[in-house]
Amino acid sequence: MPVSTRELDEARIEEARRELEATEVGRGTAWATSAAFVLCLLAVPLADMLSGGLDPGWVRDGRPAHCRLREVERVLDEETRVARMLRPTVQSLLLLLGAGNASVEPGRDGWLFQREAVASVTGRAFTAPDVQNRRRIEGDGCTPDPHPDALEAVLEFERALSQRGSRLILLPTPAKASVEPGRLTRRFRAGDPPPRNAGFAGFVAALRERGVTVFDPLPVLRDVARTGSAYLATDTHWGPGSVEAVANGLARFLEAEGLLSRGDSSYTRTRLLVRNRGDVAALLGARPASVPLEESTIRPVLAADGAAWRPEPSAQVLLLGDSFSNVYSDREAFAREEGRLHWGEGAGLAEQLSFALQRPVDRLVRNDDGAFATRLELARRLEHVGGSTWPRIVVWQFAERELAFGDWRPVPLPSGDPTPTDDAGDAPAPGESGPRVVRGTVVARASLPAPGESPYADALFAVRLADLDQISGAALPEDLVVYLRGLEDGRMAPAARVGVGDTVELVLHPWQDTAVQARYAGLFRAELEEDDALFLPAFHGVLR
Amino acid sequence: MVFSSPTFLFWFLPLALLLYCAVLRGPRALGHGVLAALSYAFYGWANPPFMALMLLSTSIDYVCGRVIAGAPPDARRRRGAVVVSVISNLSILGFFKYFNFGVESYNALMAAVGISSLAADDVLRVTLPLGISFYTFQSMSYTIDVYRGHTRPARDPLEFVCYVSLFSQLVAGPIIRFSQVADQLTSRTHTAQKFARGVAMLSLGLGKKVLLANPCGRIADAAFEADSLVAADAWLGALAYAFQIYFDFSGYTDMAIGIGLLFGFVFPKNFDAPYKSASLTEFWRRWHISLSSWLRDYLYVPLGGNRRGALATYRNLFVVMLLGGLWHGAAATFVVWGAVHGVGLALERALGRRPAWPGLPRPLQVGATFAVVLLAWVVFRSPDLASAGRYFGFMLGLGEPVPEALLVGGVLHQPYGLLTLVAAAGVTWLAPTSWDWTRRLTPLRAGLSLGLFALAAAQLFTQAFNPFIYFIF
Repeated sequence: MPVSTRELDEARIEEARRELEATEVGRGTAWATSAAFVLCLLAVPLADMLSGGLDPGWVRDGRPAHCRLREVERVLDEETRVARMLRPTVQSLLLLLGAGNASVEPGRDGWLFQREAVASVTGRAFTAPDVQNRRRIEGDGCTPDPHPDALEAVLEFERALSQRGSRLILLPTPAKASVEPGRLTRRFRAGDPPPRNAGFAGFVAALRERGVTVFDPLPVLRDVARTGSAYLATDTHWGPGSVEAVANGLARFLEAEGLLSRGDSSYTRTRLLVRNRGDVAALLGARPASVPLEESTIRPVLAADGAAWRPEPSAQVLLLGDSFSNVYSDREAFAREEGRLHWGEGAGLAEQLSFALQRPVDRLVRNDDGAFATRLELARRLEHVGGSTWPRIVVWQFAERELAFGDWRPVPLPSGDPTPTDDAGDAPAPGESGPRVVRGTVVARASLPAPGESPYADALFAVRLADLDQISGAALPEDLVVYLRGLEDGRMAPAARVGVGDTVELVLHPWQDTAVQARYAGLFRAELEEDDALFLPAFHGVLR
Repeated sequence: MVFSSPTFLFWFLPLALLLYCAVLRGPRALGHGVLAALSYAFYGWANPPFMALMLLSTSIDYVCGRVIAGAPPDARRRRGAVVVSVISNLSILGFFKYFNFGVESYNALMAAVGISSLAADDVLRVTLPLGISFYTFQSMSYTIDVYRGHTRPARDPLEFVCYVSLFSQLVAGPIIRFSQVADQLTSRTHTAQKFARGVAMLSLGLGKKVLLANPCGRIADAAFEADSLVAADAWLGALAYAFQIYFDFSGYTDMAIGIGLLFGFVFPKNFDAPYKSASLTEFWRRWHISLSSWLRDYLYVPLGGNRRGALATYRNLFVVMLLGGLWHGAAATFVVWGAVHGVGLALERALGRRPAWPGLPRPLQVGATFAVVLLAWVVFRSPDLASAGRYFGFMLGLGEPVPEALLVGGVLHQPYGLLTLVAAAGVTWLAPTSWDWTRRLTPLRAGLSLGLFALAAAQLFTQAFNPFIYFIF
């Protein structure tokens, strides 16, 4: 007789009940198991309660509730006392087995790779229409949808610069896995063709067809790799020797193209040994003993009078760069002496280019977001500094992974003086003015990456202030953006808790202040999403 | 929040157990209320506004259930209430799940015929609510079963809300029929034996998810997202995905069943060593059993099942599997995946419910069945059919050994990943199921379970790579 579906269904639950009743477990074992389990569950929250509680990280940042809940969940997942205690040891044990984590891919002989950078090499061509279409809708309501089309963004930027009489030189910086693939897998031997994203060759060809100059540093870097290491073992970035080689190669390229001749500025270099543990090692979170410190010799550039190299706003060459340009120029990080050292200052790409050209060079560098950040900085400088001289050559350096994962948001360049500088004139330097103290209401704020989500230990984030009540100092505009410290040496700074609707008292310095620029301009910065906020007057702020 | 997260395990679950124990001896309604509140908090954590949607669906079905139960057997309003329930649930599911697909298909069609100016570029983009495919099916089954007389109606709204929203099975199943838990909602036992077995099931499930599924997932992601692969790596990636989806889902189900036991609920088995199947027919008796039985009872049988001749049977099998594929998502890949299984089932039915390879010894039948399932998973995993085609090309060795393919191989062949694949294979084909292993909980097994829990939890603190495949369905 056929069995009905109801009978089949009832049979399943009856089977489960019989199964359960047939469980063979001693009373003592059952109670002990249950008690041990409950104690395990309670261990984590109790450890935090007994040690003063856990800050859930709830910040009113104007985003939907589920985005802020996600941040709370991250804190509960990763920042408990037990998690912080166990993570380094467990990660070190996993590293012995060749396991990284969500951000880190272990290579051979202690080398570490940023997983996203490897994926940018091995993944689908970033120019493929279906890839770009998927990226356009990948925002989850907590992060905005990216603009994936790098070609359009670069061409638009090149057009805007051409109208000002400047020549754009693109300097895409290959990922470590492209230059040193043999450090990741023994499948590569010296001399094998380098891996690179499948869309890269076509992208460069399309740019060159449209008259954009591209300086590809890969051959230079492979030459460096033949005689040593082109990249740092536990860091995302290239080694100091690579920076010098690329700067030298770029300088010779500019000379060969007839764009510049060698100058006579008498820059010199000194030597400095730096010891550090790389940013990828920091992302891994293993015990320090698992990832030894690396040593590297940098050669900081000095001016003719022996003073430290400084950017020159009236220079013919302007470098727009990300952390690859900044890794040996990070004054803020290097100045801090507690805990972690960084990779030094005075030996970055702008400095080395200056040395190779024997000419002053100006720079706008900012960690991360090479697709967008420095174009924005340039646009802001034009908007707010005003009357500035204009470089003949703009070198735009960004990490190649930005082509696959970056946000190539349009950035209109404000109309400015199209006359390029010839080093004869002095650009009016942003004048230093005293601090301004203000009370205001936060009407919008950018969302910060959590500690450990990005390789950068220091970060600023933007807030938009309104309802200003000025307490002291020179007059302020009615609507402005303030950059506050969000991350400091890998930890959330006090100002990171400032939320939308909060009334805050801040000490402000104009963002274009020389001292502010020198100290903070290169740091990773989370920007506001609204387009109308991009060109508001900007200040650096400290909570009072 | 997923089961395999420290937030759930060390913050939500202890709080839930504490609150539940506090009301254990109180009125039944209080217990239902606490469980429902906890469940809504669990669900709303992902996206608070969608709690209202679930409540709407629940309310409609509760009212429909009451109408059906209160009407005479031949009253038209009984049928009307079922129709309202089915249409409302399918409408909600259809809108949230397939609206974006519809817009994309429309835009693709406009582009194909050369009138892109009519494309709908600025149309609303709909976010998929968590678990909507599960709770709509679950809730719909209630009204249909009440109509069929297979279950009593819910006694009060709170009981029904508790049933639909119960957090242990809400977002990723198993799909529980009301008839399976109706008496348990009224009264259930809480014993140390039940609790201990729940602990063991939860621990095994967590271990499967964190120690097997996640590492396999990393390998699979690297392979499926690569631009180029050598053949061996393509097969490795496919194998890794087959393990990932199995341990991900069966591990989560084990945790769901284990958590149910902690609160006194007994849920039926949802996986029964499916990769040990010697035929696709057998596979679908062992894989996601709650879904396959739902499709059988509410789709296959109403279509006529096997009662209207051979051709109708084959058609019904094909249609059910096609719709089963569509249930997973609005993409041609899911439809093709369902169609592959539908064709396979129809073929085996034509052979008299025997495997398509009857002459082989069982181990080879199992291997052949697994190969078919694995190849179908390639389609399931791919973002679109063109990508699936490309991947099959890699598996056939049609890709060139470009440098990028060598680099991917370096990522795939990490010792930890390879060890995990070996362990996954061992657990799949040599180890007993979680049900079998926890049936006899010796002190050693109990200790091993707790050890596995601790190991998996410790690894959770490092990972931040903790996807759950079935959360997107």
